Amino acid sequence: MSTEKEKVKFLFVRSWCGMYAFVLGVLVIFIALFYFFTKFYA
Amino acid sequence: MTAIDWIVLFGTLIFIVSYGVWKTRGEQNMDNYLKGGSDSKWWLIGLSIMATQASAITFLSTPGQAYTDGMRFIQFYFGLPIAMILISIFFLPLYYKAKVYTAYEFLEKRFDVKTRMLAAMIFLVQRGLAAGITIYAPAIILSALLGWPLQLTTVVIGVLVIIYTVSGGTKAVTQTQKQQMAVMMGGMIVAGILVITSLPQNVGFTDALHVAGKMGKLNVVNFEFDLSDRYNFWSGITGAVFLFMSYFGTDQSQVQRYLSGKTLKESRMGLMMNGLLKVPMQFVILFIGVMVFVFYQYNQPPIFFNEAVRQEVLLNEAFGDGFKDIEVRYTSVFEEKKEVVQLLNRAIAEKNELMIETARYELNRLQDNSDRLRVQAKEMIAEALPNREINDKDYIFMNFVTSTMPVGIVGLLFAVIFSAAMSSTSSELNALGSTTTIDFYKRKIRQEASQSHYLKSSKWFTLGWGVLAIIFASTLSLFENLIQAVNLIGSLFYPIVLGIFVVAIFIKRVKGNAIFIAALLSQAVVIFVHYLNTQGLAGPLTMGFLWYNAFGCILVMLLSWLIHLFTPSS
Repeated sequence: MSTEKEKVKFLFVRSWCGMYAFVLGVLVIFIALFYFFTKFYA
Repeated sequence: MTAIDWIVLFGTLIFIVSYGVWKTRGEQNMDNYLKGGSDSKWWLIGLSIMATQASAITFLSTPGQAYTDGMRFIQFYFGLPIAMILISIFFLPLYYKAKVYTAYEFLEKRFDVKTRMLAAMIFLVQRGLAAGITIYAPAIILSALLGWPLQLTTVVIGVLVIIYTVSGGTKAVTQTQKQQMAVMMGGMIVAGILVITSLPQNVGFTDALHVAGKMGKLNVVNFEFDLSDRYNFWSGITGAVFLFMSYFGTDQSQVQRYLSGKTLKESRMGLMMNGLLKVPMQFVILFIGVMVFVFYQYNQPPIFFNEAVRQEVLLNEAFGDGFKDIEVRYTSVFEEKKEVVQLLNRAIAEKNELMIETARYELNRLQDNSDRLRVQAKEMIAEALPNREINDKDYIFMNFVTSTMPVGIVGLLFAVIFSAAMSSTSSELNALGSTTTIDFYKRKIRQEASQSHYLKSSKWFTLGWGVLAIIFASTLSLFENLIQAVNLIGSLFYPIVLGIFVVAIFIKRVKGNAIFIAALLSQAVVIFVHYLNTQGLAGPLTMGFLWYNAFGCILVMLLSWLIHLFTPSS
């Protein structure tokens, strides 16, 4: 069984904090794009 | 459907079922039956989590939702990545540490056996009902489209799932979900490309976006705070977070997916994959619905999308002529609307703001007329055929597919719906069987038996739940919208289970009796508040059902803390 010590390795991300920030960052980018989409084509 | 479509449909289904059985042949034990041998890689876990959530309802209802209500439903998914992160930080390490088969085992270690039983019981009731809907939802629509009897369609979906889920358990579920996700994603990408290429030659992609936007269908994000509004940014990042935390963090049909991970890291990465891909995936499905809407601005849509019912009412002696008359008026409004849409396209090309505004106003006025005629047609159907469902949202996408898509693709898109139905049902049956075995049979009825005995019991319980789901699916009637029905059932029961887990993790002082009483009281309150909301009597407690998730969870936390404070033992 694994432990908390296992490091994440995904693209440029090397820690779990970084991974969570990456996921939230992508969400923010999506919301910004969607907002642009809503306003631009309204 | 042509012969090629049938070959594509049945070829896909038979391949998936055979693959599931073949891949899990040979000797089995409890660990690989219930946890898939704990050797899944992160991408397989991610696919499995996504396939479990993406039921046929997702592919049938979501485009229809976008067609009628625009894209605002996407905001509901904004809470999903946040929930994935919270589960990854707080729930997953505890499950791994406790080495559990089911999420509810953890509750016995933290509280007591009755709290574990309560949470497991709520899961069985909630998921048992949902499993019925998961089979019923596509069955009713597919039976209408394929001309099959409803019972036969229900049995076909149910039996296909039972074959590989009973024989191979978690491993078969996970392995088949790989193929099912490939079919689903491939099918929807093809559908998306074809719907855009089906637009008239003089209408470009940007023109289509402008038409959709001017007609209010690209309403993706709304930052206005309104408790009674079901889908806005705020309900997405608060109420929906609670719902997703309960679903992904405490529902065994999802917990079982990531407990099959090789390591904690693989499980966490599987959750992150879901967090990253779910929002764009839902966006694509909703966007297809909007493009179908745009397609029907240039091509006459049917006044009612369930063709079988439409034909029935046309043949009705008393109402047939009246229905035809509404159809004639609907066609005339459509022709008028089509001209205004083309005017709008010209105005946009010429960047003539005044003309754009005039066309937009006229277009939305005509769309209102068109919608009113659809309501009239539905009212007439309700009068002529009182037992028929008048909500046709869930038929919109497949009606479009069968009437416009080329040979072979129709079969592929039916395979998408069947695959989605099978992927979510298999996870549900797998989890229902596991929970019955581990949390009830092994814990309460037969504590000392061999591993092979429990393995056999798991298979029998899975089979039993499969048969029950088929029977339940055969007795249901259609809700307003299937995807909302599933979310409503979830929102009534999930918050209580989530509340129990949140207290277990964060409020260490609260013990078994306090949480048990608080959970029972909160469940009663949530159901009562829902009743008041349906009657319009909720007063300050008036809220969209997604808010029940936050309300119920917080209620469990507060009540358990109060009971803890005021009980003599504390």
